[in-house]
Amino acid sequence: MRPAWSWQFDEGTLRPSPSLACVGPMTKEWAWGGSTGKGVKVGIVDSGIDDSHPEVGAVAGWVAFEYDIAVDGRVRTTDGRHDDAHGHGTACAGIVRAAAPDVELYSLKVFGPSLKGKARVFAAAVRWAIEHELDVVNMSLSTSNPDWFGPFHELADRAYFSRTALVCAINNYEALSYPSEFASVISVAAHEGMDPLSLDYNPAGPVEFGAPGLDVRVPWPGGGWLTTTGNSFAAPHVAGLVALILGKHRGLAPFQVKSILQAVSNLAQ
Amino acid sequence: MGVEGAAIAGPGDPLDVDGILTAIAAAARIGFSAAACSILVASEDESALVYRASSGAGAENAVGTVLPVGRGIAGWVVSSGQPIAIADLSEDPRFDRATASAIGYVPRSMVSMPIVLDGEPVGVMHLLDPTRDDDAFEFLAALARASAGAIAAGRRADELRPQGDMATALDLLLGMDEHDRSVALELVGVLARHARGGAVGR
Repeated sequence: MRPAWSWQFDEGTLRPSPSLACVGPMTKEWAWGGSTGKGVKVGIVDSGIDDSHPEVGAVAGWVAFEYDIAVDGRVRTTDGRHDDAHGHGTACAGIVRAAAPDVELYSLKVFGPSLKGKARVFAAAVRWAIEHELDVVNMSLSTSNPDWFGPFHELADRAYFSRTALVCAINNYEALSYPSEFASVISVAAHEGMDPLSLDYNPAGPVEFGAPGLDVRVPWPGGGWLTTTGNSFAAPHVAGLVALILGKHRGLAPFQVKSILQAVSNLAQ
Repeated sequence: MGVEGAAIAGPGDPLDVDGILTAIAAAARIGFSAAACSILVASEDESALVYRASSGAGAENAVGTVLPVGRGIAGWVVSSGQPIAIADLSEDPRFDRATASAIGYVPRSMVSMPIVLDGEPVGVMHLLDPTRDDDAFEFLAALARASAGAIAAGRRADELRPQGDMATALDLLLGMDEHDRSVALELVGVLARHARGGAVGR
């Protein structure tokens, strides 16, 4: 008689996994030096992407998610190029592209003509990203609805074990923020400064990492730029760094990525 | 009289949600030395945002204006539940200058805060051209919570048609724990006393 799940450690079942083989202090050069994010799939869960912007470039995949008002509880998905009616998704895509020029960007559009079913639509996009094995997902949004604590916690765990790194902006004000508050995701808020390679780590939570997000200049639909502030612009900075790390060290689990981020943060000892 | 929120009257009067929201907008405008502050609330079918209250430049024209949730900055804020600040709106080629011009004021900068009720965004506060931004998000969030309380009380009042006074209606705030409810009541009470004092003007 064996306890549940012990079979996973049987010879022939257990699989090898990459380790952080670093000799000496873990530096930014070790973490991502020479990487361009090539081969890394990054999903932008947001308002869409304007791929005509020169700072964004080609988008490898497009999926729009929309709540089906006629069938309560159902989310429709539509493949194919879509626009960015709000602008925010383009900004995030551009920030990621600036950090990791050769990533494969996926636009997962979750904003539509109605507010109905938003959390369900958001969850559907995250589920899609996990099922399609995206390496990184930038989520510059969250839900404050306590009814969705459980579903998003489950999704965050699934992403963790599927090696999909969820990079989540936490709310700009103190409020429930799912899945951004969960320990299994890489949570981000804005810190002072403009250096895209500068990172702060906060072990106390609920937000663990600080990145540029104050008066940052971001690409905006129509080929222009916008100076703006928000935790939602700090998250793609970290998503870009995660893409660089995974471009150099393939197959790392989210906890390993987080360890690297902590090791190269400003006050790391 | 030109006193914002003066419609917040005494016992026995029906709940004046728009009056409360106007007083909150005035508090935000004054607190941040801004040109204007508006409060938009989602329509019943959740496809649009309607200007319900406004204070400052263009206030009289703003109320009643409708924006779609499917586009623009306001639509993103209410859809994402995330606040955002923009330093120079002239850089955004898609900023709705036509609507702003029709309202009577075209802002250069903006801070937008979602109004959240029961965990779901139901509206947006727009603060235009603030000259003070210390702790902007936290203070606006407090005012947004008060706005949510007023909206919730108004919805409950519509459902129950209470005959009681404003204090009874406010006591029916939905989705708030005891601490938040006492904070919201205290804030709205302060705004009401301030408005009746006539110290707030357009």
